[in-house]
Amino acid sequence: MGLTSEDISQLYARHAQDILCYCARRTLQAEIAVELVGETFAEAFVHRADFRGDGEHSAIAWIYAIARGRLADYFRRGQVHRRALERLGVTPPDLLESDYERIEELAALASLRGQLADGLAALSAGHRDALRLRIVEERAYPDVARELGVSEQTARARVSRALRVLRRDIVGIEGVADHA
Amino acid sequence: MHDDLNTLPPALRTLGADLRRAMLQAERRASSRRPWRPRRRRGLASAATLAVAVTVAVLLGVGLSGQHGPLSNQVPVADALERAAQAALSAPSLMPGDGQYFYVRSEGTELEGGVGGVIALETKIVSRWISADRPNVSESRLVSVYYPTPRDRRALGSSQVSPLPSPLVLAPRHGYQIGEHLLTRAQLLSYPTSPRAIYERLYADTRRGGRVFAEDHVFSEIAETLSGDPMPAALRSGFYRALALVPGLRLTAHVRDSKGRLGVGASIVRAGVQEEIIFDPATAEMLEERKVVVDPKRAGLAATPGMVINDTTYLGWAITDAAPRGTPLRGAGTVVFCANGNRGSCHTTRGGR
Repeated sequence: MGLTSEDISQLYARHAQDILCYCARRTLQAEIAVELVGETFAEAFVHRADFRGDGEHSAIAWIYAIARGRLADYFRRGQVHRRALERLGVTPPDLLESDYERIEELAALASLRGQLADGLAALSAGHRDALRLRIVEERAYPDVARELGVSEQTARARVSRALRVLRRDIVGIEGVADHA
Repeated sequence: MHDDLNTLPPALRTLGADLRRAMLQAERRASSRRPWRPRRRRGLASAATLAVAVTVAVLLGVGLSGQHGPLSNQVPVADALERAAQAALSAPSLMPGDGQYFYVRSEGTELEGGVGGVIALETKIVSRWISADRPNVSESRLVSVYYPTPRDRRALGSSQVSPLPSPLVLAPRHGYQIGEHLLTRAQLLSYPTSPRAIYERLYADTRRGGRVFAEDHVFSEIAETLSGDPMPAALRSGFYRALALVPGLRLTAHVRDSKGRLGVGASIVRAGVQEEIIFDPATAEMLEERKVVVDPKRAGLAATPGMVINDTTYLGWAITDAAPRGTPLRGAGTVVFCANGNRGSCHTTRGGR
């Protein structure tokens, strides 16, 4: 049947916050999560004619599938590819201080970061440094690689492995390692 | 789950508004490249729901067209409303002159409730004469009462009083109402016609009134104004365009009102009740307003999903030179326009009843 812009706006109003939390708990970064939400709904609009489900439940499942794909793409590239947003001419807004606070609160990122700190302490130095540079300092993979004196591919692999290790202990970011 | 953009973090709110605007623009660009063709109606509610709805509809003469799922039966908002906006500009004028009345005749069903959740549905024919400088007048005639269950009949049957026919002066006040304001004729003529300005004025009114779901109330205000008050053509056109700005608005093609007239439904759902207006995009006529229970628990009603709890079918409008004084109307003025081309639904010709 396909969706209309009204359907997508309605789905956004009802579910954007949940998808934001879903993305924030996996990226641990509020602004990246907002970008992913934007790209997810923009892509849903671009491909609205492809929706074959019936009703809100199948529509939101479809939206989550898109969000998972965008997350995987983000972990592969190390940045959000804004293809659909650019097609619509939409730029994600700059986040205010209140946005950071609200998103942190909604996604319970503080407690997640606490668990992450504990998990990091249990990692080897190489993996921990890779994660620190990539996740805490938000460095791009080429920078991480330069800093660690390894190839970019190795840097990505270390981050990926480190996340996989953390996944065992941290429920909130499960799924990250699959996409890293 | 969150139904309201206002509850989202500011960044998500901004992003949502930007996305909505961009999607509408993209859809409008796409639709301008192809003829408007509403989707086929599909998927009504469950058989049980439909059976109840049809039962109510038949007994009341209410033309319930079925449940509208949140993702079905929809047509691009901008298209149908834009067509109505264009049609409004060329429709016959329904703006009274100084000292004249705007007359509107309608048939409506309303839910009456009692202690213990008992309900009855009353159908009335109502005539209203609205003036900018004289007291407004209303005449109401009870047509029928429907009790969904014997319990409802026992509880409410004896209390029903037929008030017929008794013209009633609504209030010593007068004026043309838009939103929270009663306007003079001059104020109405100078009301802004830009859709954004209309929307923002109505929104500001509802916010000042302390209403939480201001955007829902904007929908109701636009619906009431389009159906029950006179407007210059440009303003009427602007109101249809302002309707397109209501968040969450859904359009449904091929909806019939209780008189069988075909139109487009524009609706929102709030607190378990779907509020819908049906209009004819070719003539910009408002055909019907109705409220249908979609979630009785949320609505706080002892009703069944699909039950029409309130509808008003518009039968005709006219400009008249006078209004009745304590007796039914005896030909006052000249009809300049009737709903449905005056095919048996508009009875206010000179000397008419």
